[in-house]
Amino acid sequence: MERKASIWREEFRRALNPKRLGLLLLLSAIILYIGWTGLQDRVPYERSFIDNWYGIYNDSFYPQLLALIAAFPFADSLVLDRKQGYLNQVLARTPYRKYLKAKAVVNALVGGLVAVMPLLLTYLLSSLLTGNPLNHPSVDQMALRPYSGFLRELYFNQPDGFIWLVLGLCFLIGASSASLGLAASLLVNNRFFALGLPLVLFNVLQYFAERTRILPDFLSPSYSLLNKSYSDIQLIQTPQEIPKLFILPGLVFLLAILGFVFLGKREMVTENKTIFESFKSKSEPKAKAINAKVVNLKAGKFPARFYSLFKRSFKPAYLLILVLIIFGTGFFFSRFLSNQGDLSLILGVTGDNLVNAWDVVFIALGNPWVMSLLIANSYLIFVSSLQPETGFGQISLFRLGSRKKNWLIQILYLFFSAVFYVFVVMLGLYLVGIINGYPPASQWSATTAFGGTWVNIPHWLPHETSLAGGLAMIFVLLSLGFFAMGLMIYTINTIVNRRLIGYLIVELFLLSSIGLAHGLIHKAAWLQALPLIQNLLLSLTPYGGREIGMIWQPYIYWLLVLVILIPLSLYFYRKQDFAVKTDEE
Amino acid sequence: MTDQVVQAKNICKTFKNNAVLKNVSFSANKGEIIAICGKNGSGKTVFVRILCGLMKADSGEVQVFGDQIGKSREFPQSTGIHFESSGLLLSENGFENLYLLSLINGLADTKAIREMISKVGLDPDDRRPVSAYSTGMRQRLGIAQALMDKPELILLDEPVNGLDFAGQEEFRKLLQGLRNEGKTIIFTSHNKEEIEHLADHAYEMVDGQLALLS
Repeated sequence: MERKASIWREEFRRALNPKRLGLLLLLSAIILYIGWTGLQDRVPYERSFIDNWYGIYNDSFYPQLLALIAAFPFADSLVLDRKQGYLNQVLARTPYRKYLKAKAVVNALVGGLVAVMPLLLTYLLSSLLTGNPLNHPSVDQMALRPYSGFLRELYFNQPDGFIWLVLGLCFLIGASSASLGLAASLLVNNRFFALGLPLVLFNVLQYFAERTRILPDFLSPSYSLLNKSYSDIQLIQTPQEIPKLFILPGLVFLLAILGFVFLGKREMVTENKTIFESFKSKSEPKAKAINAKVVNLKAGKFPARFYSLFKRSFKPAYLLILVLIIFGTGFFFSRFLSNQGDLSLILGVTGDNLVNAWDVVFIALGNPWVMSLLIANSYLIFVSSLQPETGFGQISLFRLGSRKKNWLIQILYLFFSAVFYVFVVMLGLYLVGIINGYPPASQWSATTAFGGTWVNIPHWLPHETSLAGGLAMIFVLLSLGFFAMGLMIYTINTIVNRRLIGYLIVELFLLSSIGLAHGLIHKAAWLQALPLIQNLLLSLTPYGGREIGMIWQPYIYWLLVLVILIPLSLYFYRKQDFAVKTDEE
Repeated sequence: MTDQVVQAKNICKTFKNNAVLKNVSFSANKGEIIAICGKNGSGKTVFVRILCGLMKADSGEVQVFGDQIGKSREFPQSTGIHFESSGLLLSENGFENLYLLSLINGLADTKAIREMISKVGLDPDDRRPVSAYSTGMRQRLGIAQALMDKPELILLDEPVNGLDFAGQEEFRKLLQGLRNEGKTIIFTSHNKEEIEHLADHAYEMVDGQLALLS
């Protein structure tokens, strides 16, 4: 009997790729396990199955990563189809509109399912393994259950209904995130953009709704996800407020649909052009003669080889992203400092140098979310394409004639790019601080000297070292940390021979290390030192404090990581086979 | 002194229990054009990648210009390579691609690059990025890349794929010219007829082994 061919069947089959789903489930399990350890520590009482489930959900940072998890299975598939030419094969067999419709629906469904699946498994395990009775009063002392209102009633009287309500909302947010990622790839034909945009957008919304109160509560993902622990935003109180939970996923769906309608035109997609590229190609003039000498470098020497690697690894779009991050973060924290009220009254200090432009640098670089989602994240994206070698990279290696030399150039590239990146970010934030009216200064500000924790540095730092010394400490720490994390990606990508895997693993570990750091507050000192984020920030509020005698720890941590990874990366680089690779992966 | 440029002895290569090459032995002398044909997936590309050092054989040895590849040298000297996936930076123009590669070993100057781009029928002043090139134009640029250092040995994987009829004809002339200069050329193709009147010797890769055709 002939099997019924269908684009729907084909898209579902591709979206449910067992390798990707397996990896996702593993990473989700790690994230949820982190939540479990945090819960064990925080609420050591008689938790019922729903206490366990909701506690893990809240304490795990899973809701914060949900947008990335949902986008991961299929949101980048259109980019791959376009770049690998698979799209042409499909369009020879099915109409374009049908293809796009099938992809959009399948992506949304699978995104929603993937977001819910780990929580469903947790629900199952929690139900099977928890024997404690419901609603033990001791648990009520802890910030775990809804405090009041209709959700509290539901939690106490119909716990399964409460869980299914949260699961349904997770499905919607997951489906809308995945749709946004897919639609975003119509604007910028890049996998990272498709996978990363929903995550960044959701966390930015959370920040602006929760921390700055610029946006209404219902635009924060934690509100729609009924996620409680890490948010000051109150859960809904009455059944009449339920429609508000659907505003955020509804708006994201709407944004995605607008993207499909306006950016998903056949000619834009099949000719592999974004909206920007289609304007560009119309205005592109015919070529003039190319200068014979492009750069004044002596061929065959190290600087020339380095330049060649730089040209193939660095993309102009990176500069734009970097400028956006520096300006966005700098302006945000400048406003944040000015909105704190009269610091001279709060802290009891006076003087002209109350707050200066360096404080914008300290407060931005000391924030775990800004560090993991923006500053470190963009650096990791920039360097994640070094391995595996593209076709061009393989020919470059062949011309160089030595795997070890090629590896060395790439490692040095990682190192110098980390140093340069940190320098540019620090200088950029400082300049944005000046633009916002804070004075340039060569000494600690009065506010910082009085209480460093205001700007995310240890309180003792201004008393122990000069401003230059403090800046140097942060500069060296971040350079080392970024270099080491870049090398992690390099090594993982070399081993698995895939470009995206290393970045995703390191970024997920970095993000979930915020939760892990929280969960390890009362554990042994060496355990507290393990999470990545602990070692990128000098000030550790709200985690375990780092006293003056422990300041060497993060430097040693990164040096140890480097001591392990440098020989390991060389070993795997020299060992690998260079299989056929296109430059359009 | 021997004229032997390439000698491969008992090369074996296996991927996940799939033996792609089984005790393959092969040699090529100076000034010869040697073609290797075979079906898709027969192992032609893997074999050429092992000859040039980008892949490592599970067993056996490869000598190029007397150097044992992977032992005394990692990659053969004075060798140009071109693979079916052209290995070009899509965001850069043709000249910039070749210029960036020339910076690595410094063997070709800008004049040589421009000459070689013209020789394969492209315009060295074309500022369009390679992403705007057709498949055939990318193939031509890839071949120019392999030849720009004036190597003694040239390894080409499926060089005529994507070339139009005129391009194939130009390619044949180019190979014959290179042979007259004493260069050794090894190329792969899946088209038996195409290679028989171009190559001095033709082999077919069947079941992981090389069989001499002519």
